[in-house]
Amino acid sequence: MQHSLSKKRLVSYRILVFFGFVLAIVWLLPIIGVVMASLRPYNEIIDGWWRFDELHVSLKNYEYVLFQTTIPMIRPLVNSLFSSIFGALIPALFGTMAAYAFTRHYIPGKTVVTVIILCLMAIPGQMIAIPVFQRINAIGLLDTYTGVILMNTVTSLPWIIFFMMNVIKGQSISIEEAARIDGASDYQVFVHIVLPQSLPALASVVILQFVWSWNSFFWPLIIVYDMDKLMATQVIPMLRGQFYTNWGALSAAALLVMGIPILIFLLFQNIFIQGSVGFADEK
Amino acid sequence: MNRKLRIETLVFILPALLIIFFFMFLPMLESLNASFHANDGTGSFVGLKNYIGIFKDPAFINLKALLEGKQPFGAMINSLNWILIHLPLSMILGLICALIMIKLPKYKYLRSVIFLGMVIPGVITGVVTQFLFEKSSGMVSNFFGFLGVVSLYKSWFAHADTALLALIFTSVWVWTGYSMIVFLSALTTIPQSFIEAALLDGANSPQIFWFIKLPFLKSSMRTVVVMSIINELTSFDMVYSSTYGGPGGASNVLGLQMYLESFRYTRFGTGAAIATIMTVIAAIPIYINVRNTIRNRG
Repeated sequence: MQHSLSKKRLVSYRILVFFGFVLAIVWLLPIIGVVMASLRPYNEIIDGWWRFDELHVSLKNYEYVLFQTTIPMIRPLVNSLFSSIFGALIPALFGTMAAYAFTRHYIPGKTVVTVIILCLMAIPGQMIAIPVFQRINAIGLLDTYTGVILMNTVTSLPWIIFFMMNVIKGQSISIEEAARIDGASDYQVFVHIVLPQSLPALASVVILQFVWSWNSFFWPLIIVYDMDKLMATQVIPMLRGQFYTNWGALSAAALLVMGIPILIFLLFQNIFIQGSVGFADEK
Repeated sequence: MNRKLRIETLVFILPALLIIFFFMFLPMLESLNASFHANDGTGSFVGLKNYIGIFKDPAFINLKALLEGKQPFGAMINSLNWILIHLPLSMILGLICALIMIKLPKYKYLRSVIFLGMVIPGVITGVVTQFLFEKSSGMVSNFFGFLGVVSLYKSWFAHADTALLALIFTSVWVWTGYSMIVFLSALTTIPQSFIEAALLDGANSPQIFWFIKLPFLKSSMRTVVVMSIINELTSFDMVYSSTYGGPGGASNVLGLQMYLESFRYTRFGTGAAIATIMTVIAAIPIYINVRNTIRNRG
């Protein structure tokens, strides 16, 4: 009896493993297709990348999109890298500073401000797009990296403040109080106690925010238009021709742009999973 | 705690709060205000004229096409359709994936594969759409060709009746990973003793799912619904990079229509009015989200 039950369980477990793999393969196929198309000449993939009558693998498409097209991808990739690093570090710093004061200091009207920030977190970007465009234009930041970094900062500050508020709330206040009795100022407490304790959480914030800045498209589209300043995501729609699309080149460019987020995701999977489950669930 | 606002406190909060105030809070009110003002640059107050104009615009709602049942229905209808089709599909698929993956703790990388779509840029998802639904080189269209479904063996995004569906299905491919992860985290909170007790009482798998697992999933379902609706309503990147709303507006959505009005035709009043309508629709999910977050924080 016991034996047959465990045997039955083993069979159903194997069926589950099978379905799990089928699902994962189906989900992976679109990306495999892009990889295949990027590595093979146009005439081999035009009738489907899964046909292998002829197989010539080369990096020609990459060479072409990186250096030879009208908009060589190398420059936009560097632009995106630069803007995303600052677009992650600046909001992480400002957000943590605000979160510290919000958790530990007296602020009049704290609840109201918190609720407003919480509402703004989910507001559609479209709702602020026009005035933001006009203001960025007015202060001379149109068509600059600073403008893009500014908008990456603005749109991420609400969630970073909330995330870091929960983190700091979870830290023991007694060390801070002890330091204060020894005469430490707010800045010293923040730099020498709060920041070091928050470092793991802060690393998560920077990693997630880097990827989200890298992936962002709407704000760069509105803010940056000079060919030398385009972000990598902006180049992708430009490669799509109206009548003719070079699939090989488009796939290679797509892979270059999604390669970095995918790599970061594979290295730090847990951070992404916690990030999407939401800070609301964290204690 | 000292009940006095100190200079030090201001140094900590002002950088973040000033940025949020000038580039988020104020713009939100300015958009609302702009939606009641003229497009022509004079900025004169026109009341609800922009809103009335939107609802008369076939690019927003095309009643005639809707009655005939032939695209383009307009951006508003397409966005609502997007929610209606996308939400149940991505939730059910995500739930199925979660129920399978929870039993396979040894194969965590399978979860990562399904989640992968969530970390790639939306513009790339647009490229993937084209790649899946192109007639000769696309997997989905070729699959239907293989099955002998001639009507779907075509470039989906080049035909008015299928362009929007191609986008929605690709988006489901992305968001299934999200709902799977949220459901998985809820499933892990179910005490194993509950399930064992039910098994001892002779409960079968459907009963365990219905009476034990589903109640535990209720709050995460709310999370998925809220986050999905906000995302579906504002989808822009993948539409822009794949169909640009075409052909003939058949896959136009609110996010794109707002962009076109504001930044292509520079009709800021109309653009702001569309944005306001989007925000009003999103208000209910945003409210639920805010309420849940406050409740969870205790």
